[in-house]
Amino acid sequence: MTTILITEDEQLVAQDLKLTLEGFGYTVAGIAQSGEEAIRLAEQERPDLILMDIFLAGAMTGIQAADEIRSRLDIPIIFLTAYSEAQIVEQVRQTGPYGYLLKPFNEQEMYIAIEIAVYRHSLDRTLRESEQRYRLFVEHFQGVAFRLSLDLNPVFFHGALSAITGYTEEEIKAGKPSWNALIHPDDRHTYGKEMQTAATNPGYTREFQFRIFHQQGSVRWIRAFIQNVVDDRDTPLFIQGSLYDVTSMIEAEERLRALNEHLDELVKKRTDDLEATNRELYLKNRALQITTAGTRALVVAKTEADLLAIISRILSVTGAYRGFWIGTLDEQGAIQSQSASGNTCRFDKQPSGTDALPPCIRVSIRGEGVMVFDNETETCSRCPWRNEQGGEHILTTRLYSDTRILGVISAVLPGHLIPDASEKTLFQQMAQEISFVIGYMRASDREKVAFEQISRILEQLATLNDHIRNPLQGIVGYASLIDDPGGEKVIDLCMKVNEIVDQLDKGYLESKKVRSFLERHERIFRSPEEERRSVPWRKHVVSPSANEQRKHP
Amino acid sequence: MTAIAIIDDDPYIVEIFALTFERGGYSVFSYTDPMHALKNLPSQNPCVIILDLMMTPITGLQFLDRWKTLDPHRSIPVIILSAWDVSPQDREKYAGLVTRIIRKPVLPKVLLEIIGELCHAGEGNEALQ
Repeated sequence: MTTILITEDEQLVAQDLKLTLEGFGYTVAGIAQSGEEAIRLAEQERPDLILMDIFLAGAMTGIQAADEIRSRLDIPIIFLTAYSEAQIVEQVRQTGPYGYLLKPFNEQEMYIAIEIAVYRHSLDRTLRESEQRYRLFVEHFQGVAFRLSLDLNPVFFHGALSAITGYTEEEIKAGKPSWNALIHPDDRHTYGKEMQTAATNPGYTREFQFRIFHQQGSVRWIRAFIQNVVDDRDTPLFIQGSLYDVTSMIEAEERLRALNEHLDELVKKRTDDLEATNRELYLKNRALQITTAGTRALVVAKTEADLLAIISRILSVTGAYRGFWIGTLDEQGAIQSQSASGNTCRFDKQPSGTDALPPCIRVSIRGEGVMVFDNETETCSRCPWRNEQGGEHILTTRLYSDTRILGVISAVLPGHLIPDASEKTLFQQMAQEISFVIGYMRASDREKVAFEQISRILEQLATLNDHIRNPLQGIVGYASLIDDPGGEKVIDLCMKVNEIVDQLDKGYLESKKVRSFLERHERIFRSPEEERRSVPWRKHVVSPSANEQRKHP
Repeated sequence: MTAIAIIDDDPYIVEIFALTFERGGYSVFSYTDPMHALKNLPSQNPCVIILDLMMTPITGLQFLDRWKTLDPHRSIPVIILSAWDVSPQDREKYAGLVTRIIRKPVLPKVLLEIIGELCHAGEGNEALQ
């Protein structure tokens, strides 16, 4: 229900107004007799409308009171006056009144004036609120709303234009600088094409990005939404759209992309590092396998043929050689032992002399250092290697000691290995080690002879021991049977001889220790034929014990 | 009369010990061939066997291997009298078969004392039965 405050110093008129208003169904919020009272009651009652007499009791006029109220409150005011002088009307007009009623007024005029004032006021309020909302929206809008004519000239820019470009809307519209001049040269073509398309295609919409130069010189990324707006006959009217500064987003994306790239690089580098480490480990392990093959074979090999077989097996399995052949030569240059493994030269028969070997091997026996042959080398033409799958290069070198050539080795490199300096060095080291091992094994033949000698001496000692102690026992026995002081002397002498034999026993024991050391650590044993030659009881009567408790008196 | 068996392929040794033991009051079964001893001894009843090791055609230890089947109850003590010692392995292996190991040369009276202890104890046991 509409409430109305009456400001009227004439009591009778006020009461008349009150009755009339109530008659129309309004509520009278109060009756003020002065401007001051009107202000107070307006504050207090917040009426929907104020009827204001211009000439009031007290110091204030109605116009002054209305001014005051309007500055504080949003209440429509209708003036009531008996005067219509131009001066007063002008004063009233300046207060922005909602109505002006001349006394005496009829009730119908007043009713219409009140209804119009209330309605207008509500309209004004809606409009003000709408404006406020719009203003708030525009003030907080981070982008720019714009309109371009179909010839692409700016009609308006609204929003954060100066925040984005550094120029005001007026400057841009005035072409100082022109909008097109702000666009990055690299993007002008794209921008122009997009806008041209938008200008000529009814209802066309598009989203795209371009760069502009900010007044400060920095480059800003702009995302544009554009639309061709048409009339009801589908005729293009203008282009409208919005622009947003997406620089920070683009920069963030760029940073993210750079970060990802950096991460990718790191991952790739770590992977490369790992691969390199793996490769290095593989190569080191292979080098170790190759350069220790000879010594490892020596540990288990009993004969030279054994040694070669084990070496060639180790090298073809863990040395990564596709094929391997090793042969030793005796002092006459004939092949003494040989072994092959993997895809290597398969000789039809066991070659007895170097003449039967493929030329590439024969060459390396005569020459020094590591020799490299490839599949097409004529020297190796007789070698079936060249037809074996994968093997690309053949390395050969001779085995030699200080005094003579011991043999020759050759290996087929798999396809992924090339005979570079390190590969050749490895091969050379392997050859030196195998040469040493062969030399060592052959030299240990001499040790075997010494071993046999020790064994024979031990047997002789054992026999000697028996041959001395038995006669001693005889003499002691006889001497004991003779009850004679001379017999005692004989027994004493026998015991002295016995002590000497004990010394021999100790020597025997030391020799036995040497022999068992040789057996344990040098892997030297008597040959079975030597074993057969020894006296039958030898293995049963083993040794005099060093800890024996003697029963001599 | 208490009997002692002596097995040694050296006839001089056998002869001397036979003389020695007879002087000590024992009768003696003497053998220079261990194979002969294996055949003959089971029918005898010596109170002790004196055994050499280095013999042919079988050694003293080989003799023991066969003897243990002939005297499963180990009723007769065996003394090894040898120029050679017995290895620790063989000592362990033949521990149950050998009463004593004596190295040559041994003084006859020492050997007699040992035999005396063994044979006297044996007689004592017999007397109790």
